[in-house]
Amino acid sequence: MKVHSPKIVCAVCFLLFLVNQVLWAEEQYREMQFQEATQAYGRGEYKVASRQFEALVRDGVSASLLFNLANSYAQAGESGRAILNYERARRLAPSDSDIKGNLENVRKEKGLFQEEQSIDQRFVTFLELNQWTGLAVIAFVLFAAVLLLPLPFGLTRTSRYTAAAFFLFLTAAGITGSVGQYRHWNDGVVIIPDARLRVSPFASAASIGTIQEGRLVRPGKLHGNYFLVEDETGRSGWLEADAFEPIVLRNK
Amino acid sequence: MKKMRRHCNKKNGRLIGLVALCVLVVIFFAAVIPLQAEVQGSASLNATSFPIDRTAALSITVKGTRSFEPQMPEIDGLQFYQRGQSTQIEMINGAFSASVTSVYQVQGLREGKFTIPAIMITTQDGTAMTQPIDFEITASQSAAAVSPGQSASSSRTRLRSGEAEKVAFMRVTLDKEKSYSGEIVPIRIKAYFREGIKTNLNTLPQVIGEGFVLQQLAPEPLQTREIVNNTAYAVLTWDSALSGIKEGKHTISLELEATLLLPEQRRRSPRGQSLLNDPFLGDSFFDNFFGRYREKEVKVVSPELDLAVLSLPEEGRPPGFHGAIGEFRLSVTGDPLEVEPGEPITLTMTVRGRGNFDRVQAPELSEDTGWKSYTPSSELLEDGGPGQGKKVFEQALVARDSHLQEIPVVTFSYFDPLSATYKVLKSDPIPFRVKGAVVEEKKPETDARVEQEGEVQDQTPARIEAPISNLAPLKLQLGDMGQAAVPLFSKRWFQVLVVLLIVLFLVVAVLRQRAVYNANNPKLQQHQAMKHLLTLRLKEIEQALAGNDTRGFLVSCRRAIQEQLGLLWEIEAGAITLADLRQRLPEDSSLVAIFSAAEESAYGGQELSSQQMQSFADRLQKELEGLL
Repeated sequence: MKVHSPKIVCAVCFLLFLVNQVLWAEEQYREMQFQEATQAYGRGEYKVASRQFEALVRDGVSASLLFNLANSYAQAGESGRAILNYERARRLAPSDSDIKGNLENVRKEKGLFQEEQSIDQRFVTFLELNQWTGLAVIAFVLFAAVLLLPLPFGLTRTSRYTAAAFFLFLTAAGITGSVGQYRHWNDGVVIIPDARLRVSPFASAASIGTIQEGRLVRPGKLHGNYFLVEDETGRSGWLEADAFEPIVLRNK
Repeated sequence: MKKMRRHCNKKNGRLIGLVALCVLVVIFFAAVIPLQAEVQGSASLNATSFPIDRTAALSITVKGTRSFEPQMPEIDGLQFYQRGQSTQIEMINGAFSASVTSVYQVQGLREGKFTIPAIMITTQDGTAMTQPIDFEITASQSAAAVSPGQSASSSRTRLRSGEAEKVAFMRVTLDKEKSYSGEIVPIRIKAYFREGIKTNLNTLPQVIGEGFVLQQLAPEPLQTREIVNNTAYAVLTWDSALSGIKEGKHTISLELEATLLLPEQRRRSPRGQSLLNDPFLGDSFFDNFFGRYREKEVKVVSPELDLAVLSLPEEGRPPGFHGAIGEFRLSVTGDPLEVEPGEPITLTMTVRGRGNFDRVQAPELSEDTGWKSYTPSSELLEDGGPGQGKKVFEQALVARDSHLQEIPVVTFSYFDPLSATYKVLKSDPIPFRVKGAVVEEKKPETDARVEQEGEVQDQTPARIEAPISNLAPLKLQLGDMGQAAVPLFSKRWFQVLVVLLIVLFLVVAVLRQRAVYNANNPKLQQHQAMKHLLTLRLKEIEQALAGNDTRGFLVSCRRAIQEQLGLLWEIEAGAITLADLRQRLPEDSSLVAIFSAAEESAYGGQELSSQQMQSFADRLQKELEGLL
């Protein structure tokens, strides 16, 4: 045993070194590909850039990668895929103003004007899903602490209950916002031009109308290759599954 | 007051008497006064032809009497079963008349033509005769539904109108004999099923033949009842539209598949002695109830109709024509009509009317210079029947030129099949204003247009997809690569954290609530204080017992008794005396004896043996614990 121990330690160390080298090489390769795609974008080769960014997405995503991919699609004229990837990037970095700004610009440029939001919609979209959830949890902890811990010096019972009511309100607001946001978590984006909404889930069914590329849709039940969807304007109908892609990226 | 009440009662009594008298008079007139009309008899059969496995209803009505007993004739091959009698009394202009109707069910025992002869009706008011009735009894329905060469149970029979109208048939009505390619032609499809036959539809009506497209039919058609050739049918009606897609003369017919549940006729004993041949039990209801059914799949086919499909004329076809055929109207609105520079205007264009809405495309701006227009969205709202409704298009427009003052004319072209000409609908220009724009004096229209066209040519390459200039640049760092965004609440650690927080909150809340409850409960507090003091005193007593300290022992006993009773009686412990104990406790209470011994020891120096002390200690503990 004594004889073999140093050899095993050496072998393990060598193996760890190898793994580290492989990972490092992989990271370097990804970085190189990213830079190449960025350069292609700079040269105005938007289709090439979008293909290269898309290849990187298969190994994992980051807000920057999705943002660049969305920019490439936007410049290549594929507004649907551009909006899809901006939406995906926004979920990873909700406070990134570049993502929000570009998304608005592309929407405006393609005539995807959103109807004025109602008060409850504005409330729900004030924060992202995880921000609402985090707010709800923190507010709940503070509510519990204010209510249950001994009163600090100088605090009256009235101020304790006022603070508790405030944090309870924040908790309720956080839960409401989370629920409201989660309703849109599985939304999709129309990625083909002039997709047709149909009255029934068949290719031969009558068309209710076209739905613009880049429009957000909320998929419901599935029948064959058709989803019953509702778009931002409240229209609903059956849309072919290939006509839109969900914003949620399924983890591999 | 009493007088008044008596007066009221008297008045009510008179009123009731008057009403009762009226009722009696009416009854008297109805029952006693001779009926003014003379006795008249009539008979009718609800079908002039019916199959042998069905029955018909014979109604014999006699006017001018309130009861009668007809003498039903005996006819070979027919049986009559009485089903009930009803009386009707009418008063018209003060003249009363009565009529009685007797209903009989007529059952045929063989096929053939029959005549029910005139029936003599004798009543107490006179005699009357009905008129003879001719009718025919045909073969069983099931036999009619099946072609001679086909198996009766499993084969699918094709029922064409005229072949088997007694079971099921179909009628199709087309509004036109010729139509244009793509034109919507209203069609009415009616499927008739003999009433009483249970039917399941296996398919909806389908077009036989090529070159036509039938619009989707409603899965639940309109259901009505119709009498055809004196036979009742359940009718299913679909209103739809048909459009020809192939030019030329075509023959069209429709078919639908259905399963009929046909009753199997029970065999009747020729001598008529079977229980089931009883007139009552021989009713068709019992036939249906006890009888067996046989499923028969059929294809019901409509008669063939001719329809010529014409091609649209080339002459006069406007450039913006996309295949809309029918009769349409156009209305256009814009909103908002006062915009900031660059703000879009939503142009809502509604095409309504009757026609092939699937070919109706968005109306077009007659002049789009100075405008950036986006792909319109569309929505079809059907209303008022097949091919009728409206299609609403919404198009965003942005004025590139801030000097524009009106949304240009919108045009929509269609083919009118009635006049066989192309028509172009034009909206009026809609005035609007760009905020902050300087309104210049309007130059002559022609000049302005030339100028605008020149401007636009210089400005943009119209609708070619141009790179978007105002996008934020690319990120230069790849950033941390990870997996896609996941809701926080679906992560395991977050779920555990939330559960722990809730459990912690509940535990602390329960503990806190318990403390508050204890603090606010005087009985509990008293109980706890008694328990605490008793524990202390019992310890002292044990120590005194161990040290054989009689004085200390009795002092502790006395204090223990005073403290416990003081808390219990809610008086000062030191104020409790032996007299209080004797007054409030039973005479044989150990506490009195111990307290007495303690007092004697305090004032007289009485000593106790260790056995006595032990006995006192045990009794004291028992008594005081009993107080808790």
